Amino acid sequence: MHDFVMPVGPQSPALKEPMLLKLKLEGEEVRSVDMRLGYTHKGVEGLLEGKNVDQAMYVASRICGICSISHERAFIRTVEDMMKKEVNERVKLIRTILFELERISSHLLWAGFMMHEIGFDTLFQYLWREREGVLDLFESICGNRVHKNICKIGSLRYDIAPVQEREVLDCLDSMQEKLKDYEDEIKKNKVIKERLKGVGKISKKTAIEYGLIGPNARASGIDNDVRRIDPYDSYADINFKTIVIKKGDAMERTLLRMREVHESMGIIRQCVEMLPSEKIPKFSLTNIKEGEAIGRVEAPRGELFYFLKVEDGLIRRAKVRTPTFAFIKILEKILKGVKIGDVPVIVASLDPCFSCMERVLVAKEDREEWMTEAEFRRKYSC
Amino acid sequence: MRLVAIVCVQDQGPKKEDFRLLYYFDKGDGKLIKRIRKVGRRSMRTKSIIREHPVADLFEREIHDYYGVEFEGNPNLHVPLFLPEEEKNKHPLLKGEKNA
Repeated sequence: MHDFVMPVGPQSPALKEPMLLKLKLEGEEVRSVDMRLGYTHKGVEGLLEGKNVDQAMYVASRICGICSISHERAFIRTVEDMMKKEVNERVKLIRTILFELERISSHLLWAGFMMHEIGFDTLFQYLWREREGVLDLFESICGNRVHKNICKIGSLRYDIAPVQEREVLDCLDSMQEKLKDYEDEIKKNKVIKERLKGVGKISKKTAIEYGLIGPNARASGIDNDVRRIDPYDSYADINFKTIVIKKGDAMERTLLRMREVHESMGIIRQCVEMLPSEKIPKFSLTNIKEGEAIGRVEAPRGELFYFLKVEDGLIRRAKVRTPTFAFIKILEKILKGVKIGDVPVIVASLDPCFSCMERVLVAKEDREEWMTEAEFRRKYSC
Repeated sequence: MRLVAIVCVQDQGPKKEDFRLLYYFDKGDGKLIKRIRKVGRRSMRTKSIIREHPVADLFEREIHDYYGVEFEGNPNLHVPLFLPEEEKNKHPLLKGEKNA
């Protein structure tokens, strides 16, 4: 017999993402969990249907603000597979650099949130200060800090100039030592250890059963990394370690992501060193009459999967399976039996992202315009 | 084998009455295995795989929300997932006379 049901969300100071958890409690202990999603659902798959590939790429890029390049890259990998298109070495390396910069940005954003959840706001601000440097790099290279929109089919929108290569390396050098200090603080600080050690433990067996992916799976002892098992861009030519830890609690998930940031820095440095002097090819409109393909990439939160079906030059079916959608089901399992105070920490430790907003942002030179999806469709007849 | 995704495709053309359910599995060796299940437009029914793959619960519920395919054996199928209560049974991605 449960005492009562406590709703957490969709807008709650304890959750940074809009989801509803109906927790059935007995005293302070959670007995069972009902989950409700969809509060930021904007029907992207429907929006992609009926567009040609070049139009659809802009929509795909805006599915997520944190991992915008991952969505672009997964979309482009799917299309390039469909076209059997090869890209040159410089394009591959620049894509890899940007992809890893995005991973650093995402992991630091998440680590900041994690510290905020446990009440350590000083470290939260320090971590976000370092992230600012990465966002400045995006602004310098892509022209945007959030929705980067840098990739094109077979090419890139902008090349990286030598001065920007230097900026990238300087940024990494300046943050490396500081991040080591922050990592040490996370390892040694008594309060952080009390709040994270042994909390939200996921065994390897449970992780396999629930199809866990990305850093969460790697923190539970599963060696799962699309960059290694199904390499794309320059990952096959680069030395990097897939970090795997076995304990699977919130502490290990935090430390694993911090270590992945250092690994990403190593990848970026190798890529900058390997950049050839050739030019990136000019891009042109894509000409695909029909085809069906899948593509996946290792986004910061795990495997991002795309399926596209094109007929008569238009997309007839698009399926986007985001990493969060693949692992969020595990919450129903791991929240059972925990204390109510640990719920926000456990949810945050998985790094979920329900970023698809109901609105789209239309940038027009010097002004911005916010509108709902229906208004966007009406105005731009799509 | 890890279930990566279930994709529901409603084919246009002579066989537009049918749906294809594409199940993608990862064996861990870098290649995805594809299994195809056909679902007739009239029956709109197929068997659930949540016993073998608990993660399929959300995938099946999403397909049910968007297309109205019934997955026999999934107890959560009619619990709202993405769409609000008032949109229940409207199936926004279903192509047909109503939704064309």
